[in-house]
Amino acid sequence: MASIASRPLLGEVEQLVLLAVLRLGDGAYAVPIRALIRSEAGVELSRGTIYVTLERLERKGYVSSWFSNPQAVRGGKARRLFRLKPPGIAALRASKRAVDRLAEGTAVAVHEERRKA
Amino acid sequence: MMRWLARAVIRLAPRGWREAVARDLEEEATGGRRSDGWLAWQALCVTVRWRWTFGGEALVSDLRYAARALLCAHWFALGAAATFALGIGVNVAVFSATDRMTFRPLPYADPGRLFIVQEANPDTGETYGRLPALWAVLARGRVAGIEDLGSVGYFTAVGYALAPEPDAPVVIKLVSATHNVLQILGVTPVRGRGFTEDDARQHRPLALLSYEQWQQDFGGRDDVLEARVYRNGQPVDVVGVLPQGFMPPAAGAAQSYGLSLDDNLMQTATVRDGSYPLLVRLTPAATPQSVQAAFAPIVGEYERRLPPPPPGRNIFHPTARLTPLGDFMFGPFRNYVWVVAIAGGLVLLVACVNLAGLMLVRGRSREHETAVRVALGASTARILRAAVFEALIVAALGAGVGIGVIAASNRALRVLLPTLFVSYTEPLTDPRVVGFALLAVTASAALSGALPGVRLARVDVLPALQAVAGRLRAGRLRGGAALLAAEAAIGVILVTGAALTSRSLIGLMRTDVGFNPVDLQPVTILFPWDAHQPEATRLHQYRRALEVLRGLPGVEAAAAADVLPIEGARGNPFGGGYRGGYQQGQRWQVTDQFFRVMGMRVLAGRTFTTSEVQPAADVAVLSQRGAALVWPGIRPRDVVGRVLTFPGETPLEVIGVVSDVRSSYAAAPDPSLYVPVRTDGFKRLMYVARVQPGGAVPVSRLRDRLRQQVAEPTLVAAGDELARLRAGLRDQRFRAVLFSTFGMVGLALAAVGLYAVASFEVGVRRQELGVRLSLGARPRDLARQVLRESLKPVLLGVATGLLVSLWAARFLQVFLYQVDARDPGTYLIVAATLVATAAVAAWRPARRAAHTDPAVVLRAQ
Repeated sequence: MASIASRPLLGEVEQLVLLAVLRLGDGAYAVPIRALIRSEAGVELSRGTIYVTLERLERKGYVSSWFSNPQAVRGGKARRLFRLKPPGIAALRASKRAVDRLAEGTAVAVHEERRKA
Repeated sequence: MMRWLARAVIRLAPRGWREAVARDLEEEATGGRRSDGWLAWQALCVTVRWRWTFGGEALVSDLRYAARALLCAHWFALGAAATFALGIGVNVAVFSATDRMTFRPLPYADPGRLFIVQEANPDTGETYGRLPALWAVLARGRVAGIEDLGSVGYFTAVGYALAPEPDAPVVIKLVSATHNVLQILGVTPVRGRGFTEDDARQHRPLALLSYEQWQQDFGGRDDVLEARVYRNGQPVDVVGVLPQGFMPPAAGAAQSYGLSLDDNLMQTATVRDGSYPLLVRLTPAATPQSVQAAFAPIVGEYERRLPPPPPGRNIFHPTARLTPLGDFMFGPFRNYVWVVAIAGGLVLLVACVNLAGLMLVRGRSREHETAVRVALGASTARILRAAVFEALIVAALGAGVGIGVIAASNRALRVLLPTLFVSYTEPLTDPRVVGFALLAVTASAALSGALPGVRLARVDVLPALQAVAGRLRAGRLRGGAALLAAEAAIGVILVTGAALTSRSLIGLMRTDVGFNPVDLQPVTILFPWDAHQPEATRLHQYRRALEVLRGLPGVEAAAAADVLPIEGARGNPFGGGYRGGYQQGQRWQVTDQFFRVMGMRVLAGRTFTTSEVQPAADVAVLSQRGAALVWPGIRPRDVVGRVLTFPGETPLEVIGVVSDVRSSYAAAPDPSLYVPVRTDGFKRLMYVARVQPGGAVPVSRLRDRLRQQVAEPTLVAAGDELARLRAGLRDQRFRAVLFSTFGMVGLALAAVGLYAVASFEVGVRRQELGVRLSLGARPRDLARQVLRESLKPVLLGVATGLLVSLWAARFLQVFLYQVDARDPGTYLIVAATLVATAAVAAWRPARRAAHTDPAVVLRAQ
C-alpha cells in the first residue's frame, strides 16, 4: 500500500509548469514555459495563469527564482528565471506515481470497451 | 517601446513581478509584431488575474491589522462606534420609514399616467380639498386625453366592524371610492373581486379590505368574504381583499385602510354638490397641460350654471389643476421627510468628521509605526486601506449596535414616530433597507478614513524613524482645524434645529384650544341604519340617547352635535353651500348646553336655550372668527342682534359670539356658525360628556341602559379628549425629540473632537511651552493662548453654521408654530452654547499647558 502524502498532490497546471521548468533548465521563464506547454502538451494557458502558478509554486518551495542581467540599454529590464528545487522534483515524482498506480489495469479495459463500441 | 498605458497598468502588478512581466510582454510583442493596445490589454489581464488570486490575502491581513490596532485602542473604538450607532441607526430608521413614500414608485400599473384633478384659484395658486361634483359628471368621456376617471374620498370615512366576534367591535378604516378606482390603478384583489359598475348602479354597500386588515383584524381567515362590517350603522359586505402593499390613493391615508364603494362621489351633480378630487388615468399620448386645457370648457359650463354671487362678494374664476398622484398622496409629507433625512444625514456626517479628527490625532502618535511599515515596503494604497478598514470596522460595529437597538425598541419607536410614517415603515430585513445600511457603512468609512489615511501615507519616513517610538514629534496637526470647523458648523445647524423645534413645541402646548379638554369625553353611539326611517324618528332616537347619557352616574353634563368641531372632521359649509362658502367656514348643528359642556367662552350675547333647540329656532351663534368673516372689523357685542341671510334659507338672528375652537393645538380654528340641530337631513348625533374629575363614561352601563330604554345600539365607545389632543402633538414632539437628540450629539461630538485636538497640540508643544515658561512667560498667558488658538477654528465653524442655518430656515419654517425660524435671539443663544461648550472642552488642555513644569520638560530632552 502506498504511503499517504502529507501534502496534497500537484494540480494539473502545476504539473505542466513544473515539467516545463524541468525541461527548460537554466532558460526557464514565463514566455518559453508557455510556448513549451502549448507545443508539447497541446494546452493553451493564459499568461496570467503561468505567472500565478509560478508564484504559487515558489511559495510552496518547489521552485526558486532569480533575476537575469538587465537588457543592455537604458532602463533595460531583467527576466525572472526559475529553477526546480528538490521538493519540487519529489512532488512531481509523487504525482506521477499516484496517477500511474491509479491507472494500472484501466488502459486495457478502456481499450477493450472502445473496440466493442 | 512599452507605451504609457501598458506601463501604468503594469504598475498595479506586484513589485516582484512588474519588471519581469514587462520584459516578457515586450519580448512577445516584438516577436509577434503586436500593437501597443495588445500590450496594454495583456498587462491588464495579467494584473487582474494576479490581484484576483492573491489580492484577498493582503486584504485579510490589512483587515486583521486594522482590527488589532483598534483592539489596542478599545476605548477610542467604542466611543467612535457609539457615535456611529446613533448616526447610522438614525439614517437606517429614517430610510426604512420613508422609502415607500419618497423613493419607490407607487404600486400601481404605469403610475406616471395617474393624476389628480383639483380645483385651483389662479389668483392665489391655492388648490382646494373638494371640487365641484359637476366637473366630474361633465368630464366623463368629454375631456380628451383621459382614459378613465374616478374619485377617492378622504379617509375620514370610517368603518366599524362587528367581525370577527359580534361582541368585540373592531374599528377598521375604509376610504370611500368609486367602482372603477381599481381598474384605473391597474390593481387586482388577491381574494374575491373588485367593485363593478353593476354594484354601483344598484347602490350595493360593499367593502374591499386591505391585506393588513385581513391579516390583523380577521386573522387571515379564509371565510373573510362572508364577514360583514358596519359603516355608520349600515351593514357592508366584504367582497375582496386588496393585495399586500396596496396604498389607498388618498392624501394622508395609511396603508392599512381598505376601500368602500361610494359612487355618489361622481353621480350627484347639482351646482351645489361638492366632490372629492378626481383620480384620472391619462392616455399615453396626453400631457397634464393638454388635459388641463381640455377642462376649460367644462369649468366654463359649470360657471354658467352657478347662481349669481351675493352683491359685494368677491368670487374667483376657478381652473382645473393636475397633480401627479404621488405628489398628491405624499407631497405635504415629503418636505417633512427631507428635513428629517437631512438632519439624520448631518448626524452621520458629524460622526464621520469626528472619527476623522480622532484618527488624525491617533495617526500622529503612530507615526513611528507607520514609518516602519513604509520602510519595509508597504505601499501608499495599503496604508490608506488600513486606515479605511479601521473606520470600516468602527462603522460596522456602530451600525450593528444601532440597528440592533432599533430592532429591539421597534415598539417604542412606533409610538414616537409620526402616525403616517408608522404605516409605511419597511421591516429592517427588507433588501433595500439592508442595502442602504451597507451603503451608509461603506460611505461613512470611506469618508472618515480617507483624510487620516492620506496623511499617514505621506509620513516623512526618516525623521519619524529617528524620533523615539511613542514620542510625539513637533509639527502641527494638518487638517485638524478644518475638521474642527466642520464639526462646529454642523453642531450649530443641529442645535439651531433643536432650539427652534423645542420652542415651537412649548409654544404649542401653551396654545388656547378654545374649550376645556380636561375631563371631556367624546362619546360615539350608533344605532342600526334604516334608510326608510323618517328623519324625525331618527332624531328622537338620538335625543333619547342623549338623555340616557346625561342620566349616567359620573357624567356631570352632556351635549351633542351633528359633527364635533373638536375632532378635526368638517361639518357643513358655512354659507349653506353657495359658491366659495365651503372653503371659508363651517356650520355645526348643536344641542342645548353644548357650549357649557365644551367649556367654550361666551364673548358676547348668550347661547341657545332649551326651547330654542327643540324645535329648532331661527337663531345662530357665531365663533369669533366666524363673526369676523361675515362682518369684518365689527366688535363681537355689536354682532349680536344682526341677521344672517343665506340664499334660499330663512334668515338667522345672531344671539351670541363664542370663542374659536381648535381641533388640535396646531390647527387653525375654522370660522364657525352654530345652529340648533334640525330635522331636515338629520343623520346622527355625536356626543360629548363632561365627567367628574378623573372619571370616565361607564360604557357598558351606557350600552345596557340604551338597550333597555332606547334601542339596541350598533356601537358605543368613549374617548379621552385631552389624550387625543396630546396625541395630536405627536409630530411636533417627534421633531423636538429628534432635533434635541441630534443637537446634543452634535454638541458632544464637537466637544470631544476639540478636546482631542487641543490636547494633542499641547502635547506636541510641551518643549516650546517649557522654554517659554523658563524665559519668564506667565502661565496664565500660555493658557489663554492655547484657548484662543483652539477656539479659532470653532468660531469660524460657528459663523459658517449660522449662515447655513439662516439659509435653511425657510425649509424648517413650515414645521414651526408661531416661532420665527430666523429669530436672532435663538441664533445668539445657539452660538453662545457652542462656543461655551468648546471653551469647556479646551479648558483642560489649556490648564495643562499653563502647569507645564519647565524643569521636567527640559530634562526630558
